[in-house]
Amino acid sequence: MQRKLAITLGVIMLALIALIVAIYQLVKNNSEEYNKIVLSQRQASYDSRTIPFRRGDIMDRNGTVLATSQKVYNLIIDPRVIHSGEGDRYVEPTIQALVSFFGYDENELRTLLKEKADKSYVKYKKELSYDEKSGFETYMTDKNKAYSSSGDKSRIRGIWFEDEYKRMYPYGSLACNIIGFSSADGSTGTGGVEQYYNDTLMGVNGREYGYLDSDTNLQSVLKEPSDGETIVTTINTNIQMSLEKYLNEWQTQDVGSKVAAAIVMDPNNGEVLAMGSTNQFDLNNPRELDTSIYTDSYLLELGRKEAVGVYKREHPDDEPITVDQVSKYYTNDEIISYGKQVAWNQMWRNVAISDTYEPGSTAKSITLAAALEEHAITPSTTFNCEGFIALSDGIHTWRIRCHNHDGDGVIDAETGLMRSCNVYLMNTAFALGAENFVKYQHIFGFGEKTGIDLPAEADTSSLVYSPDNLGRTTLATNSFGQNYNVTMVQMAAAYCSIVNGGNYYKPHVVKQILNANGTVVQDVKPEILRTTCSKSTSDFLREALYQTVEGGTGTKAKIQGYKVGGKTGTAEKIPRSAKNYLVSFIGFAPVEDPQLVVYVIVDTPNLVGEAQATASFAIFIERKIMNDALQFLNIAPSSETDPEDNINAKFAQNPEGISNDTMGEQVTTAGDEGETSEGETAESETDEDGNVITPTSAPIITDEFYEEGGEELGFNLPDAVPGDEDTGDTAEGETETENQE
Amino acid sequence: MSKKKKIKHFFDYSLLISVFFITGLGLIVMYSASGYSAQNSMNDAMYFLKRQAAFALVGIAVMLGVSRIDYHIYGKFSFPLFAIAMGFQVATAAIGVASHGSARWLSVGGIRFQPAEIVKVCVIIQLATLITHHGLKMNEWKKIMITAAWGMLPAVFIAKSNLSTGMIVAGITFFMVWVSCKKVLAFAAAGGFAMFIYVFAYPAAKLLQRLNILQEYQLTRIFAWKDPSSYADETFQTLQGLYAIGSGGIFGKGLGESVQKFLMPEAQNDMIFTIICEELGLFGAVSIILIYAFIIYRLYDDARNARDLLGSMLVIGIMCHVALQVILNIAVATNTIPNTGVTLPFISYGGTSLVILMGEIGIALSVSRQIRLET
Repeated sequence: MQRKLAITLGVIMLALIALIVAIYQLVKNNSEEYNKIVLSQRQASYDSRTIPFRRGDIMDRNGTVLATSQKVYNLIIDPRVIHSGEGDRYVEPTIQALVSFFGYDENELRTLLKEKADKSYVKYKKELSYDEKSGFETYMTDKNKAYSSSGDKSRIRGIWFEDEYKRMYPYGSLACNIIGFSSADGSTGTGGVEQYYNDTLMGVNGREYGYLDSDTNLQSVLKEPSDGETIVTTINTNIQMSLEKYLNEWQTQDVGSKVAAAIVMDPNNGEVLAMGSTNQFDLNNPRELDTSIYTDSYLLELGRKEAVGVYKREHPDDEPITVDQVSKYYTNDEIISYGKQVAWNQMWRNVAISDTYEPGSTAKSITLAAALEEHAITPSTTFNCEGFIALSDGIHTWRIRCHNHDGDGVIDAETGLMRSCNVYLMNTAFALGAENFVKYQHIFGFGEKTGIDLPAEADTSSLVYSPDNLGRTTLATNSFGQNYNVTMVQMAAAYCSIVNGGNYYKPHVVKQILNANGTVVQDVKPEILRTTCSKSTSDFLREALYQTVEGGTGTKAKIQGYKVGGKTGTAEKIPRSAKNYLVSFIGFAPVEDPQLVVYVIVDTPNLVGEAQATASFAIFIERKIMNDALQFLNIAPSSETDPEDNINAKFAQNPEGISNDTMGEQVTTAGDEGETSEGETAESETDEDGNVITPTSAPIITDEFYEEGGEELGFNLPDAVPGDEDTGDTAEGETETENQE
Repeated sequence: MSKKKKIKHFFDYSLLISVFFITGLGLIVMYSASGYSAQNSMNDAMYFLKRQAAFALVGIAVMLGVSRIDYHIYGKFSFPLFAIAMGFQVATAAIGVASHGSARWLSVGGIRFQPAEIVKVCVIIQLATLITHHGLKMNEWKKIMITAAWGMLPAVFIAKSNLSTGMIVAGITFFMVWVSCKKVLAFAAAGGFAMFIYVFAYPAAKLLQRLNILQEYQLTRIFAWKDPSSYADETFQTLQGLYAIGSGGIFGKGLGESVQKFLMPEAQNDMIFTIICEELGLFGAVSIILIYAFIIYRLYDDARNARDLLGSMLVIGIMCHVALQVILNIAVATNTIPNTGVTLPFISYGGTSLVILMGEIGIALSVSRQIRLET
């Protein structure tokens, strides 16, 4: 027994020695290799994972969500893991799983796995929903379990999901210019609030990472992402919808124009309630071009022009190339892509703040306000309008005409505005003097940036005259809004100050900033930048503008039950010889306590020549927007309203179609008239302030063109005579009446 | 009477000190290995350390207490003890608490323990008693078979739910019976057969698969043993253990510097030896093995010099128990044998195992206490 015991001990000791040898072999043969594996595994466990932040929402003033971020999942393929199985035992099951669950293309997957075999991160599909993600995960687990229990060593491997947020715009193209859009990862915004408030909307990515603490234990730390802040805009979604609806109606069911735009502001605080143009795009697919407009040939044309510029930038020292030579230097695809960029920028352009134009007669109120402030004239100052003013610099003589070639006679300030008399305004400007005129242009914000909280506001500082180079002729044309450029938001903000008693509020589109929990972190207070005019001037102009709608050039803007004021504008565009016009109307209501300013411009209606110069195109749009806006804001009417104007009734009866049809007829009539005879065209223009400016030789202001223009435009009918206007617009008036019934 | 008083009694202090030492060392490496996962899952890096230290204190109390009890008492109560242990085992199969896949736990009065550990010690006592009872009759085949059956039947029963414990019980039985008789050839043949299986298991499995007699999944354990990197899913633990041993090198990365413990599931349990290798290197591993070798040698010495056959057989059983667990555990860690869950005595985390082992050492000490020193 002793012997056997000793043998037992010997066996045990031998076994222990064998094990020591085994360990020694492991250490000796594999130390280096295993060290590498261990280190690479450690690296993997140290690897930090980014947890994306959630970009803040954008809401309208009432909390309607206009832009939001939704969690989505990216499908990540790890080809290295998939190929890691012996005999490719992960490849087939994984491909089959993806094909049968998601319906992905099998050949594509195979090619991808082959080509990127050494990669570990291939983002294969983006923006999968939670259901898709969890569905596949369950499917994968079940399938792997089934493989395991059936003894098959195949496995689905190397597929995982990555969190991401997707930007969603529930209303599609609504308020596209104000909102803008953000990049897929939510880190950059393009256009609108998304761009201007990018830093506010953005949060900070969270991170999950490991580190070794003082006890050399690996600690996993989760740093939660901080989500972006939510922006409450000043937009009123209902008004914005109306605005876009009526602009679209005009564009698609009516005459239409190159572009039409509108802006609705609250004059008492500078809040932009709505802003839009006929250039609309789907915020959810901002790069989708309308192929009917942006055909390949058009894109090529745009691209060639752009390529010339690109070539010049890239080769500043070389001879610039011409449009025809572009194909030699750039491939067709490149040119198309340049063309697309141009097209996108055209489409995304915010007309209301990025485009400048000559305002036309809407600027007359500003000229009058300046003159009244400086006591250059008083409301009772009269000038005699003989139909034109003759100006001479000693060499040339120009005659700048009023619409009314026969002259308006001796009129006071209010009548001058009501009739939109160019002569009265020119005389006013002369009385005011160039220096004061320019000073007030700047006081009213022309040539200045309004500072609106949107990107890409046009710089108009070089588009207005300085007192030094503002000659008498230019002063004359400037007095009624020609020969200098403004933006829509400048004009709207200037009118806000005129009607609110002289406070120039900084126009803005953001009202509040909320943190991710919905707590208010910042209230944007209305900011008065300066005082533009006195209370008495404001009161006078409010009344004069009211009279303009009641019995002047803007009678079509009347809304039964409300006192509406406003001013028309018809500007002839450069080059004057093209006879293209930009018509506009700026209205406000109620006159006794203005709550709304609505400004509409229609740039180059789709008509030929002077037929374009029909301010009622803009008035009709403005009137519809104003009517809806007054009701949306529940502004109490001062007298009985027309039931036909009631938006609820309109929705119930669906009279939009009717109204459109009649409108269409009416406007078409006007267009026909314009085409058939110039005289009749002039008639149809009579509702508008006459635009006598026509350039001849020089690109901008030579007096010759005025003379020519004056000769060409035969204004037979007086502009501002109410009776005449009514006659001229009989058809329109009737149609309107019909509409209302 | 006065003559009796002069008799000097022996006490195996070397064994006691060695066990203290390895238990203390075990606590240190166990803390290093478990701290990370304890912090993660329990929010307390010392969770496993505290529990294991408490078990160690209980174990030491049991050990010292048992060492004072005359071991002959076990001979009288061997069958009731055996019956109770087997009763626990049956109860476990019926109402056991599942943990890590199979039901191996039994909860009695709020104390959770593994009955399989108790079976081990009860089988040792029962076999020692039987062998002592049979005496020289152990050389008869009939008695050998009957005695062996007392160990092999529980082993088969346990192996159903816990293969490794079954193997250890069978191994203890094999060695105790082998030492108690004079037969050699049969045991040598059995040992040879085991070696044969060990050497030819892999080729045989390959052959069986090729002949389509067995499917691959039935043989996975064997395939994964010889080719762990191709079965990364099934052998994750084994593979990480090999990386740990290999990357440890000769002197290791230093205590607490293990990297693999961050990846290794349950690093404080069966695979703790790999963490020891990683932190303390080949040098540390050999040192630990030498301590075990010394403990085994001390037990051998006590068995050799025991006052009677019962004491001798008890200590032999205990020696086999410790040796088998050490060998199997390290063999698994080094992938010398297919993966099976065996704890490393005195070091691996686990209360039942530690307390029972301490108790067994207590029995061995009690045997050593009755050794008469020849003066």
